[in-house]
Amino acid sequence: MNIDILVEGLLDEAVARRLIVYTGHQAGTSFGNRGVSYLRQKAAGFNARARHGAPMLMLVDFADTGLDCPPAVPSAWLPDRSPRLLLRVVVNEIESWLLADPLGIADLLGVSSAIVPDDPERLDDPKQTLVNLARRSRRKSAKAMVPNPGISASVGSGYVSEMQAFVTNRWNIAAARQRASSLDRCLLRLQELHSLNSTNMP
Amino acid sequence: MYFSRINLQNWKNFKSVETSLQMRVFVIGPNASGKSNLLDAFRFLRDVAMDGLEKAVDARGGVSTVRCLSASRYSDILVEVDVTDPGIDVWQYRLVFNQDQQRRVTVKSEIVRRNGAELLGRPDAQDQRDPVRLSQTALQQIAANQDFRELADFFKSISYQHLLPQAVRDPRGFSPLPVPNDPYGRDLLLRLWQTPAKTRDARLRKISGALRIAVPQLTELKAVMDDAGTPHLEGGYSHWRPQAARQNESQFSDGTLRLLGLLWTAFDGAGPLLLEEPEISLHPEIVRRLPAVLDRMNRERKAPRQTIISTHSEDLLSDPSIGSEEVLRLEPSPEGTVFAPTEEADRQALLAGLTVADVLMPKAAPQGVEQLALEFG
Repeated sequence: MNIDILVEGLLDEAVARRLIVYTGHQAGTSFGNRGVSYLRQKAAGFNARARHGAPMLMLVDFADTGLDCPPAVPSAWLPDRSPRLLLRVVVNEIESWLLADPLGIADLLGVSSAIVPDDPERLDDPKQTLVNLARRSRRKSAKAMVPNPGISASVGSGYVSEMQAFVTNRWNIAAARQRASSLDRCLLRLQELHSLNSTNMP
Repeated sequence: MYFSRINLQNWKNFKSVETSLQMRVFVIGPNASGKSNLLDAFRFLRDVAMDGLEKAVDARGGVSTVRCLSASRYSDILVEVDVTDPGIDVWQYRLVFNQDQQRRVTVKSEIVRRNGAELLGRPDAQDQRDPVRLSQTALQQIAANQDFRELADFFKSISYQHLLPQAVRDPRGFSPLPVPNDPYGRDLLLRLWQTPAKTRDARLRKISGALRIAVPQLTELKAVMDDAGTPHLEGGYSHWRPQAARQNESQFSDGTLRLLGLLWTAFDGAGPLLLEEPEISLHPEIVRRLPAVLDRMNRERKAPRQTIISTHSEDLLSDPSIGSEEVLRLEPSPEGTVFAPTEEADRQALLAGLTVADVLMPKAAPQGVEQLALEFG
């Protein structure tokens, strides 16, 4: 099944593409890529689109929502959600799902997997955690993920492309879903889409 | 009058496409999908009406350059349009051409209809007796187009702009002679100067007002002529000194010149306005408001003017008044570029409050663009 994507940014898009293909679907058009407030503002419109067209996978970082708990997100954002719009909350940030593959991350950065935190969904700032792991690496590619001294940015100039490449080529989803239950649930919902056909379209 | 339909066969990127057109058309698509070539089909009709078929084809590199790469080698090229004068007439102009054995361009068929009735059908008996006649269209000949002069004049009224700031600043650096109707703006100052002073000053006052919002330090635009007889555009630049300094176009920024040229072109002329990526060099907050500015200028006119805009700008397409019917999305395929059909889901999303920038622009992205940064790893 062709599934469109609605995400906050480029790294989220790479993750969504992998998950869609991993669960036996094809990735369609990617929408959004303009931050979390855009998603919040446009959610209802994309809901209308999904109702009449291809199903859509929407990923939202829980850390960006400002809400108390992940289950509060769908009811706050899309009370009238179509079953064809899969709104999945990432706990707490997309990097949590990537850190949930500690061997892969260790291999990417050239650091010991022992220093990769083993409960990634409990991290307050998974992106910072990932950047700090990269800081301990001696590899050039990992150093590019760290912001240069004196530059007030959260990540280095090579962060997005290095992580995109990781997601596309190396990320072990089977391992990651064991440590990130929000990822596991997202995959289950994607699998369920196979049984969604046009007859039960709302 | 406006173009209400276009049908192209073997024209540049397009092997076979046809679509209806609205008063406002936004052409989107990835790089090299044929946005400029689509606009060029309208300019081609203007050039045929003004300068004749041979010159119009030669200016584009000859028949084999104009012909679509996906077409078979000797295929005819077709350009066909409907032109609607709402409540009065619907015209149809159909031109099919190719080249003969000496590589000279030849009319294969030329048909003009008004409200369905055929006013011209070529080749006719005369063409059969004298085949040399087929090197020219009836459209370009005053003696042959009296029954559809209105249509020929409409084609001639098309204006196109893709202003290059450097060509405005230094027109002779690009060509020693002034180029009439130059899309790159080499004749912008000349056109400005040749406009009757009263009209020109009124327009410049309005443009100054709009420019002052975009470029607050720029005041009071004036057209002046220097001692050598070259027209210039002068503006005051306010700064900390009490007297504003005078500057001319050679000192204006790219963005100032482009916005100025855009606004001038929107005032100048009455026929369809073709704009190529008007967003270039402009701040997104200005680009966001361009559709509203153009609409406002259009409503000031006695007869509204069709605007056909090619763009890559999400800001421009975030105007909530743009409907999917007004968007022409080009999609490259091995069989030439096609016009992507509008999906019902996208229509519903627009009705639910999303904009063309939200739902159609992402679909116009190049296939596989997510791999771009990874190519260099």
